[in-house]
Amino acid sequence: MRQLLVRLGRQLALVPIVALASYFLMASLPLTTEDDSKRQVSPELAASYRRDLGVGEPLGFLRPWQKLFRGERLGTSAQGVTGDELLLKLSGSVGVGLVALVLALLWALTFALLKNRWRRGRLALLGDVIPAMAFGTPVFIPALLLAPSVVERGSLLPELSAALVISIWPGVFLGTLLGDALETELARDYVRTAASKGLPPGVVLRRHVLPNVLPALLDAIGPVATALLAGSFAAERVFGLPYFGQLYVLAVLQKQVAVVVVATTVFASVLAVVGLAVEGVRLIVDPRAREDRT
Amino acid sequence: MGLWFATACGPCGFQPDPGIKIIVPAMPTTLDWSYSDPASWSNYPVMLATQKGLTTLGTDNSVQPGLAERWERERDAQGREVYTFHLRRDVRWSDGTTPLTAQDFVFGWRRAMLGRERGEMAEIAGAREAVELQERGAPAEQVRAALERTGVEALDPHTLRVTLERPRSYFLSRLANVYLFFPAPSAELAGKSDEEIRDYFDRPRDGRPLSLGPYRVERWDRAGERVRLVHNPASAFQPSLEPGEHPAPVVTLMKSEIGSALYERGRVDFVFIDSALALHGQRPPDLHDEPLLSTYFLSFNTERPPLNRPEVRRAIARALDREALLAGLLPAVRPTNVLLPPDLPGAATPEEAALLPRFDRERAQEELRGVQGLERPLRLVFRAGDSFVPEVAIAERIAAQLAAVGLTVTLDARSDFSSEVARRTPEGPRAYDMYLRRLGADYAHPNTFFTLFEREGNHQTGWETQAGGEPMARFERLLEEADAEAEAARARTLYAQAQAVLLEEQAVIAPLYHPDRYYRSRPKLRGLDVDPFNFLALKSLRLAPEAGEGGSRP
Repeated sequence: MRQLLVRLGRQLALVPIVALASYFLMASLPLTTEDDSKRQVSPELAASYRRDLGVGEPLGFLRPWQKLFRGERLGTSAQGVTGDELLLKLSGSVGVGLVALVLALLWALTFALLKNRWRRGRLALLGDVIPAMAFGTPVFIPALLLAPSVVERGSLLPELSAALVISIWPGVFLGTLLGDALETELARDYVRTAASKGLPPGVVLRRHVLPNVLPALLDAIGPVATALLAGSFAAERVFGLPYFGQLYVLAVLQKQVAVVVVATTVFASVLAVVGLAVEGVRLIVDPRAREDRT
Repeated sequence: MGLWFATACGPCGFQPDPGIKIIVPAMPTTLDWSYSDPASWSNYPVMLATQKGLTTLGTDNSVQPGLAERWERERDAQGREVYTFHLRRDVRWSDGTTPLTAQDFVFGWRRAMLGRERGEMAEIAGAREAVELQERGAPAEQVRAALERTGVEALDPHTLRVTLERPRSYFLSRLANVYLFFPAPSAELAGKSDEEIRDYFDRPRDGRPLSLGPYRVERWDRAGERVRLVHNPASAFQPSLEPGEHPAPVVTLMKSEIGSALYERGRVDFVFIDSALALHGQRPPDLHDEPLLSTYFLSFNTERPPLNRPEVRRAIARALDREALLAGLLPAVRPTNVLLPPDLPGAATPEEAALLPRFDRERAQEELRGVQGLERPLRLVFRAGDSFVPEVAIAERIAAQLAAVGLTVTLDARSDFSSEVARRTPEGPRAYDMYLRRLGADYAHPNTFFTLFEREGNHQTGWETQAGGEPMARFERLLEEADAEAEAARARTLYAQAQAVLLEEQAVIAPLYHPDRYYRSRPKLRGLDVDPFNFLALKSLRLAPEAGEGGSRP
């Protein structure tokens, strides 16, 4: 139980750490200096930094959040955002990310099973070629290939295409891990014992092998969620989706530092939520995690 | 998460806007036209569709009445120029009830005098004093009092008086194009704080900001890089409709990395052709071009030998065969040896143009024979990246043509073009030898083409140092006289003389051609084009009748 709480605590601690780190990093940029030559931003933008970041005020790091909860705008009138806008954009990206996560798990399972089947056949080479191609292809290349057919089509096509594109790399990555874990587990004695008792291969896989393999998959979900979010930045741009990834990129380009602080913290929060969800799933599927509780 | 997902996607997720979709090269940086910023070119399409100036431009780029139905121009006792504008009485803001008043100009212009492009307003009497006070950090009361004293006054709701520090013949042209001079809805904005006013413009909602043009901004999705314009039925400036035509109810300006591909697939209705390479091959039937008030030129570093001698620069200008430089690169070209485009009111006559350096290879060879220092390769700098000007091909052909007169030219495509042409060597002069650049008009007047080459202009040629600065002083004197000249013919002669100093006597630049802008547009869109200033023009947009509705194409 203690171990579980420590893991949960680690996930949650990420959020305030990122919030403080991003705040102080942004507040220490020379953008807020009085010296025009160093600042190189308009007086209006500099005023918005001081106002939004509460620079020099006690508990100034709470200022961006305070403004958001009050429904006030962060950043300049032309490029800033309000809490409502941020939430709307975030919901879009999370929606795309969740679909991508499901797709990635689907690719992972499919690829792992296929790789296992191809292991001793003529197609064994594919088990190495597919990951090499997936890892060597940046997200924007399949996005650019697909985008002309789906952009401005509506009916969720751009969202689904973005999810599809960003799920490929994480799917193959998870599939590779899962495939290797499957290979190891299938060689173990308990599998041979179960098979020799006359259990069909599907039942052996589902009832005995997968529960032992899933923990390895869960360990990889965190980095995969990060990859999905990072991939969404490129995919949203190419597919013209007006969501959180685009908002984040434009906030950086337009020096809306208070928005960057908030967006970075939200980014970390999403990852923490994913981490918590993974721990929850682990409790359900991993008997060893349940044993830790007792 | 499930809730988030449901909120995001709902029944249908993000849906593209219905109506006309136009791909623009960049999104606006602000919709607050009185408080714009130096990156204002990207704001123009929206501003020009939603607002109007006191004057407007005719098809021949001459000044015509706009929001002002007429005006008087006179000099006061101190020699200042005073304009009295009489406003149209039938103009309403887009709420359909608020009338346009002279106070709307006073309010908007006073904001602009303290805005990010306040330099543009400096010619209004008293504006400099207000700006200086603001920059010195004077108390707000003092700045406000200085603004009250500036030369923009509402004599009555329909009469505006504007006093300029000095006579400026280009002022009326600027009023038509430069959106800092557009009015702001003072009845709505009075009493609001600066932040509230900025939000009023930049956060469109509930039919605000009010507009005067045929469209108003309904939504600006920054993350989605889209601006949604809706038709403004209250506008007094509706496009004239042919039988069966109707205004476009919704127009979405959007940015996309794959604009051309989307046009090919019928998803968008208008796209600029931003690559000269894309113009090769068979000309599609929906390809259009607009002659720009613009000049592409070769510029010389006048401080660095051997180009520090006017006769060498002049000879190079004569060595360039403009026709051959551009042959086959674009569907149509307008080669030139003059700075002022022929469509510009006050452009040089053919006789004046004939006196300026033009292609004469034998003469160029003769003039370059025996000149010291020509054995050194000359570095030609130009902007890297896609452009509607075929810069790489032009640079390569310049190198080939100058090789024919014995000069070696090395090419240097730079993504940091502006800083590279400004970079100085440890010895003092700038590091480049020649650069290529396009100059576009901001308004339809010769003055706009000369300001770049004034002492304070960003020409980076160093020609202000030539002959102890005397030619530059003479050039500026000619411009000053021309700008102050009320009589158009006399002003034109003075501008022609200034052009001769720049192009012939000092040969600071060698004009090459007047670029055109290419774009593709669906046949159903009528009146949608690019204006001579290279801005998308929506003011005449109307939709062709649907099949079976009748009507004929103008």
